Amino acid sequence: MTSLSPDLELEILSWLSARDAVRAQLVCKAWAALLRGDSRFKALWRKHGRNTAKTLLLLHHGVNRKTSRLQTRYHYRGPFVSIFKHKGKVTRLKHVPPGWKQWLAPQNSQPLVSHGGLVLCRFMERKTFMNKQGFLVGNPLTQQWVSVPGVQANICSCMLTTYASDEGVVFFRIWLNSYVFDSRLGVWTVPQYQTVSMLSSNTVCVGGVCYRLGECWQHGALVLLEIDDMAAINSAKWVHAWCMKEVGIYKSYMLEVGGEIGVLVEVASGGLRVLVLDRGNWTWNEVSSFLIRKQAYLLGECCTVGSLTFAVWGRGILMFDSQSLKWDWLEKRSKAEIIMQKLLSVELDFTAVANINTPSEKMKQVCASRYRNAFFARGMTRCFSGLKALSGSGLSWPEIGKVAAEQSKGVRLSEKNETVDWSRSLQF
Amino acid sequence: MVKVTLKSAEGDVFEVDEELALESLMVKNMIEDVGLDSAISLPNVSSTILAKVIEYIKFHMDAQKDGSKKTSEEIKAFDDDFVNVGIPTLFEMVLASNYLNVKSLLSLTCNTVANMIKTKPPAEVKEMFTSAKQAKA
Repeated sequence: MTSLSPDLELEILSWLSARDAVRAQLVCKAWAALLRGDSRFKALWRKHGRNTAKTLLLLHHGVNRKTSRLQTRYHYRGPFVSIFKHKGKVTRLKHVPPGWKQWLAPQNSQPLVSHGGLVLCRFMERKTFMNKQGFLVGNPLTQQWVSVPGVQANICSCMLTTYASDEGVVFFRIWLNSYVFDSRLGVWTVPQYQTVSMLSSNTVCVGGVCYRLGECWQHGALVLLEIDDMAAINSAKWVHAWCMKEVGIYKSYMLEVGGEIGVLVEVASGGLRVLVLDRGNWTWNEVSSFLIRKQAYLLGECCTVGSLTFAVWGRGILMFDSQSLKWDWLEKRSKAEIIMQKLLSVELDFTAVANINTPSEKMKQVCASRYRNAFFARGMTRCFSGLKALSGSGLSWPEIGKVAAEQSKGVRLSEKNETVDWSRSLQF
Repeated sequence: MVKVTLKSAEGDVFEVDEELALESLMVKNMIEDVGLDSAISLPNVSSTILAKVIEYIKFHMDAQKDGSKKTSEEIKAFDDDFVNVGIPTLFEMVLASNYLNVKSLLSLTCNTVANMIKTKPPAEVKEMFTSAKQAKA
């Protein structure tokens, strides 16, 4: 009889959680090599979904009003890194120890956002006449960083999403205003989501499908889009549309509540509320709200870790638990008079390895020919003649939404067959 | 119902339904190649282990059928009980399920071994794996 083959040992180890995988490196050298570097192990590990035991590091940047200096503080929770003492409950924000910022972002760069174990940083390159900005993406745990070419755009909204291909290789996408960078393609593109501009600052993944809220400026319609992480970059499907005024969702943050699409919005009279979409009747129902009558704050940056959603609101950080539907202040009012700027949740994940800079030449050529003016495309040409006619025909919004959904299905199909190219009609 | 004859390492003969045998991708390939007439010999699987594998597949096939009254808790209880065996037997089951190519059983047994690794210090894990090797050698 033979003993367990390395393949089977791999299979067994792939069922370990992150914490135990680190401990198992101590058993023997062969295992350590397997767990640290083997790509097959990573693929298996992703498949078994055991990389969910992540460590949360909630960073919180701001300028101290009194000293006019930048300060970074953190909230830490998780089993994996033992730099800080683990506390099972929510703790208050602490100041970051010196030298720690460089660990999270390489020198001369500042962290922007993070997703799935990767951190996106921006750095400024000094040139004679103008500063050129570039980006770095990497895994702080392994200190592997890759550079992403810069794009001339002010950072208003920025988002990073990671996704794994079938082989378990990690790719990422950066969403910057209207630009999108895909590490699989290696170029910046300007996808046109069929006359829709983005409204929510993030996507939400419910049942394996990613959704995002957009706004159709032409008709003042709120549009729910289905964005596929794996599919072609500009194939976003129009799921449903509502009249903007009736729904009253403007700046928003999407989250998952009990397996349904939820959205965090601010109330004009002062407060936040969470609406959940009923996908049978296509109505938004309020499930929870947090109201303060005295003052109307603006909803700042948000991030979600597990069932907890953190939101910068006013001068504090508000926490919403989507399981118990409870609200809590993580930090009600910063004592050091810090004006909050940024909330960054870093989920440390030691399988997330940055592996860009390897887009195939063919992929690059296809993109270059397809998005010929991708870098210079400014603004949006808004024409969707079918929908224009519909909005004048007296149909109700759900009905228009249905027709629009049907139409965009057609667009999506024909785009694949390349018989009717809607991007051409947008003078791309 | 068509029967398939499986022959274990010791030479014991097991007669099982074809439907049940097809759950093992390895046996499925063998049937496609050789046909149903001759007995399929499995020289890497002992009689006790083969009996257990057949028991596992049978239970899960019954549970999946329409009209079965087994709840998910019952299935879980069965799985827990099924893998509650000594480490040598468990390792043999990992080997057998890999050899027979039964995906669900492989996941179950590997997960069980992983859970054992979790609760043990590294030295004990090492001992566990080396003693399993020696037992088989």
